[in-house]
Amino acid sequence: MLHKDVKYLEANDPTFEVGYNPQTEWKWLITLAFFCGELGAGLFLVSLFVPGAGAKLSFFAGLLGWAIVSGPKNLFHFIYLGKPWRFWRGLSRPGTSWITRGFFATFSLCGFGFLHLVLFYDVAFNGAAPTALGQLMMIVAGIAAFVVMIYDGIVMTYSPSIPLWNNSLIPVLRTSYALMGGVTLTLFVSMFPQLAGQFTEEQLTIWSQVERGLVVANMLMIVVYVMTLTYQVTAAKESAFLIIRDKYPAIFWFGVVAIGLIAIFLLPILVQTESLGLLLAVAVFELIGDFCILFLLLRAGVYSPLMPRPNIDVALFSKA
Amino acid sequence: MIWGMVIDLKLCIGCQACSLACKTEYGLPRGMYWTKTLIDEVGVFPNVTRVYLPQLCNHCEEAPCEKTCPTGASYTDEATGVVLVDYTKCMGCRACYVACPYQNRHYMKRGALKGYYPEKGLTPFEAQSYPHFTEGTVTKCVGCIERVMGGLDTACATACPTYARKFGDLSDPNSEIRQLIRSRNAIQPMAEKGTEPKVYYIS
Repeated sequence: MLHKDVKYLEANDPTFEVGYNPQTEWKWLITLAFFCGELGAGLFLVSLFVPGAGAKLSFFAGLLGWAIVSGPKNLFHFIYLGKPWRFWRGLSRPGTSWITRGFFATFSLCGFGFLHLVLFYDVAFNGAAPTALGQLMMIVAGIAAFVVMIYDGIVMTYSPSIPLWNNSLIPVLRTSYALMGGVTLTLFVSMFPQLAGQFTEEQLTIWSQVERGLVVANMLMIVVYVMTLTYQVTAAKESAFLIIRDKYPAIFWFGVVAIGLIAIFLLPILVQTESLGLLLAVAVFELIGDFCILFLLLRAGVYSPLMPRPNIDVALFSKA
Repeated sequence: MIWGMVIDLKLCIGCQACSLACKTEYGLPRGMYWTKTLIDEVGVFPNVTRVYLPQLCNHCEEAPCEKTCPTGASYTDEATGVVLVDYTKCMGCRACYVACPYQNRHYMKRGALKGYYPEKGLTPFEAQSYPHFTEGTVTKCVGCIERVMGGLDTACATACPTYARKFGDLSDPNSEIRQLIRSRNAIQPMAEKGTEPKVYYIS
């Protein structure tokens, strides 16, 4: 195949060669920052949809989601920056930069999310009626959470340089994973003794079905995504083969597919009884799968080769 | 004037004089090349040939690095169309690095400005040039903007022994590069990316 005629350049190869250069700048810290942002925002957003009788659960799930975004996500971004104390400059270009828009959304989630939790505390623990201000904070924080979930996928899609990322499925896939993480962790948190009984049996069944639906959706999206990569430009094809065969097959087949999708789909069916142990296992597996797919998206990205490799037989041009 | 360059691939011999001229002009640290000539071998023995592709920042009209920059550190100079980086604004997020399809952005890692002989301190040449850089920020080809504004050609074009690189004014229809673009059916690198680069290749 044509893509195999071009060499895959390891990160320490000389820079004067032509080949598939892997993306090497956005590695562990950005993976962790994106992962925490999506997971925390997904959990926060899902917590807003917990029915009224589960106000305490909604509060604790929302608090956990807010804490994941406010703490680890911001911390990993801060550590990654070459000039961390200039982070405030990242708010300068909302007109063109999705990173700026993501910064605004993250800070909005941190601020309005905190205000929502403060105002919601009374509702959750003292049975007070929700106020108009509280509802407004909830809506604004919810919108901010949605933007935090989706913006890093859009940042990647916006980049024309790496064909693996330049795919409109990426924001949808990342948002779906964020929601799946939010639902899984909400179900897990609901099993703690202090919060047990926050869901009725029927509600628990509905949420479990939502989770399974998201697993199936993610599975379909990953199959379609990897398949369509092989129909695109050679750099996208190279990324697909790096993921499924050449460099990262263990992470993909074991981490993403077996543990991150199949196991969390089958476990509740096989075990039947909802328990803290089962939901802990499902939550851990979901986090592993979510992290692995994000890791693969960032690490398997290769730039299109700068020199097109001629797919002609140069022997045709030699003298007899 | 609008900065532009035409590179004749038939004339390039891969001597890397352009790479060294650029490094010398700006005192770039170890391992960093704002311009370089890529080398590829194609064919099967005995019908093998080498192809050379001189490559530098294309100072794109629709620069993705500028659009994605959250701080406004990446900007286009109005007078020349050259894409520059304001090191006082750059926060080192490297969004421009991953956005550039031509891989022409370079991150100045912490410790990059220790010099070629760190145990002996900076050489006089390094001491003169390194203060222009800031660790933790992204750098790139500046299009030799000071030379250009002073009426000179870029360092890489001046150093090229075969005149493969030709620098000129894209806004002047009678300039040498505009004539070459017309007469030699010049192409832009990765034009399908929609970046509208100002560097053209002829062969």
